[in-house]
Amino acid sequence: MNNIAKFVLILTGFSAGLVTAQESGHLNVRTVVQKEEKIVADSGETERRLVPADTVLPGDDVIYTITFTNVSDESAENVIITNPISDDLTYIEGSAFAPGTLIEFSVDGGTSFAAAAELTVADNGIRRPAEAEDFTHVRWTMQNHLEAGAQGMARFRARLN
Amino acid sequence: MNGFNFKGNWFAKLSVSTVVLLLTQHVFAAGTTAGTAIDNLATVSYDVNTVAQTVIESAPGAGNANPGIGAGTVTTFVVDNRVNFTLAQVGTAHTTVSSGDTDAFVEFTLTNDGNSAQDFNMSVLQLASTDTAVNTLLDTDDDMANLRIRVGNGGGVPVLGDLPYGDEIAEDTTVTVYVFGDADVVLGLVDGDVANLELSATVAEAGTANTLGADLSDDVLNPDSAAEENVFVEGGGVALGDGIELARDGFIVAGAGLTVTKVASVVADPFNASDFKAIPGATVEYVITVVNNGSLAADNVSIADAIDADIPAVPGFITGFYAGQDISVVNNGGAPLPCIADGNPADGCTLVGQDITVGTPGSPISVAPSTSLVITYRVLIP
Repeated sequence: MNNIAKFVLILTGFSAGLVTAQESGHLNVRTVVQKEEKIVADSGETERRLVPADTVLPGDDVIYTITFTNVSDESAENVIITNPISDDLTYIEGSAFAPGTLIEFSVDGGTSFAAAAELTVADNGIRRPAEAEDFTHVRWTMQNHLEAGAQGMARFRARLN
Repeated sequence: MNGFNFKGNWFAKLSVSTVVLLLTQHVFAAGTTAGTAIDNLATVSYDVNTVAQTVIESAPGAGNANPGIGAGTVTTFVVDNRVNFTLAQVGTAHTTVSSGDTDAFVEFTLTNDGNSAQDFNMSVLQLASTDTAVNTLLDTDDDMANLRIRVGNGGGVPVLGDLPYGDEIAEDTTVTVYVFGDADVVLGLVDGDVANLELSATVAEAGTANTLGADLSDDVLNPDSAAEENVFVEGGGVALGDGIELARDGFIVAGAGLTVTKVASVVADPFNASDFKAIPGATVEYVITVVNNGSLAADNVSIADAIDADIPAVPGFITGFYAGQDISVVNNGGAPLPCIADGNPADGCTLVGQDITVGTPGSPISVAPSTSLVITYRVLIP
């Protein structure tokens, strides 16, 4: 466990204890929303970097990054991160990413999940393959344990309608 | 030798674009409404030693480690105001007016392509001959009087009682804007005069119906994920992204422009077979030609001619000209109009004393554009 994670654990655990006396979980989960900014480096090459999503207009892409850290001294198994996609956002095909995870999607509000290629939706009574805009949730299932102190990251990109 | 005069009363003919554009939906939606908060909350489930644990929701900032539904905090950004709108002339022709016309108008459309309702502050500028031509017509440094901007905010055709600014114009909505004007006679507008104008729309704060909000400012230098910012992306106007759009149109004065000429020639005398002389007993022919060089018909044209006092109005001093007629009146090359100079105005011709009048109220004459009215009569020198 790095020092920052420890600090976070102490802070959150302390405040939670004061307010709810609730026991802290094993994981700390953090989500940030950012935009990608292209900058031209001195070398003339275009570089991309993530900046805070301060200004977001329809048609802009935002990037969600979910960081999950095992702040306990026990190994966490079967770690599953589920993230709904806002109705005002459209998932960008192929953008979901997380090392060592199985990536699945839902087209029914999170009731069921499957690989993108396996999903279908009813369109005027006819089943058709699901498209990125049909996705309501994205889910990452870790294939390995998240060991004590370890950190994982999941990310996806979506476009503001 | 002979004096003459004419008068032409022509009716104002207002020619306007008849395009009426009501609320129009664009093919492309303006997108998520500005000010909308877009929330995101991830949920993580896991086991420890094969025992399922209470899920943990995400939080921004330092994150969340407290288990349970509701213990997390959404990660949020606020959709910003993509300020985009267009102002466009309707049609590509000037509005035709006649001198004296009131409440003539030119037509524009104002479209809010942004993702938020807006007000629009509008103003109009009279252009000059030094400005670029509008609809290929250069301004002739003539101005229409009493310009009034009216916006059909409800989606209808603007009327004089409407507001002079765009009021609460929803996203993806087009409204019609008229600029009304008067072709003031005092201004001496004549045929062919061109009065160009430029309409300006500046985006303003919406929020209160029937009240023009303050001009909007671009927040591009004040980014804030938690607040709605105004981002100007419109393309026209004075500069890109300045929140101002401009469009031009104009009025052209198109009345009837009459010119009158009169020619006298001796067509017979008692002694010569040719090279006739203006001697007693000679016949003199007068030809009065009225040409309409304007773009509209001249209606109720009346020609009055006073025959010289040296030719006393004795019976028969006007010679019979065409079969049974004293005066030949030929309009646009057609058949001669009936015209007996007998003081009876029913046929459109009168002779009272020395005065001939052609085109009386009972028999109005209309001279079409680019045509002529030719009046010919002959007198006998006593």
